[in-house]
Amino acid sequence: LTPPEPRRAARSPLPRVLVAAVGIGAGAAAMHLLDSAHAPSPQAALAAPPSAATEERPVPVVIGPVSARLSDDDKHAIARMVREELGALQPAPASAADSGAAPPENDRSSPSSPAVAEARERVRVAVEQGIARGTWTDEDVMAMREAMVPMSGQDRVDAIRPLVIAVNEGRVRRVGRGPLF
Amino acid sequence: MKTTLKTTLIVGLIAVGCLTASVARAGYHALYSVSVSQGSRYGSGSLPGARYSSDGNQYIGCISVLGSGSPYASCYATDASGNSASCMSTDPKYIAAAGTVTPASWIYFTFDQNGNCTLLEVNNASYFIN
Repeated sequence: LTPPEPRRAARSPLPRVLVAAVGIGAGAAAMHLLDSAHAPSPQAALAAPPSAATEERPVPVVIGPVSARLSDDDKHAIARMVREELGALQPAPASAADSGAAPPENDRSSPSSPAVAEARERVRVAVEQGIARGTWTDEDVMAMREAMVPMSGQDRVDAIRPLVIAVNEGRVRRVGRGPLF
Repeated sequence: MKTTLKTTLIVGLIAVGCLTASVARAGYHALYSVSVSQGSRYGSGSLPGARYSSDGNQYIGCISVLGSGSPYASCYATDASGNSASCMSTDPKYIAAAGTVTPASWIYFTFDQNGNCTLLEVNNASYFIN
């Protein structure tokens, strides 16, 4: 099984967001440094007022590694942008009513790659067909395992859930031996 | 004469074999067949009980899948009548428990209406060994 590839899909939109985030952070840091460089220490301010020469001299600014921290609002805004960008890449998920499954216990809007989205769709179709047939064969199991390779464990569990429910309710009969997926 | 000696030898070997086998199988032993209730939402049974059942339907087991970012577990059972039950979980506790199943295990699992495992008991004991 290959590990999930939640960030692969984010290649095109995510760098823009990251660049934006880094830019915001760098800008904030630069502003902070500029302010710090301009502002005299309290002792110096009390001791002597700044001379005209000092005021007109360009202030060197050194930008190095900074630990700029984003506010919660900024983090939420960036997260929202990432979700929107990634959401645009995904096909709309099947509704719970369509699949006959209960809605997920928690809303997972995790990013996923096109490969994962395609795998989900393959599994969804196969599960629907199995439920319609009323049987789940060893061939179905093998097909599931192949299709599920790009999917995470949670994705797999969510995708196969309608089938498990159907088997547990006696609507689908396991033809063959072993686990359902 | 030769034939008699050969026969005696074979009978003797068989007797020794039987004696050895009976000694090796001493101790309390029980086979638990697979039981599935879709209404009560559980599956149970021992691996040897399923394996050595007289019908050709019974089986029970668990899978524990580990991988970077994709661990999950599922337990499944089918009884003599062909009734099946299955549950699944991404909870590390269930994944760990599912991984402790051995050829001498007795398994009992329950599940909710969404197929999530709600209990998993793995009992490894000498008397389950066939």
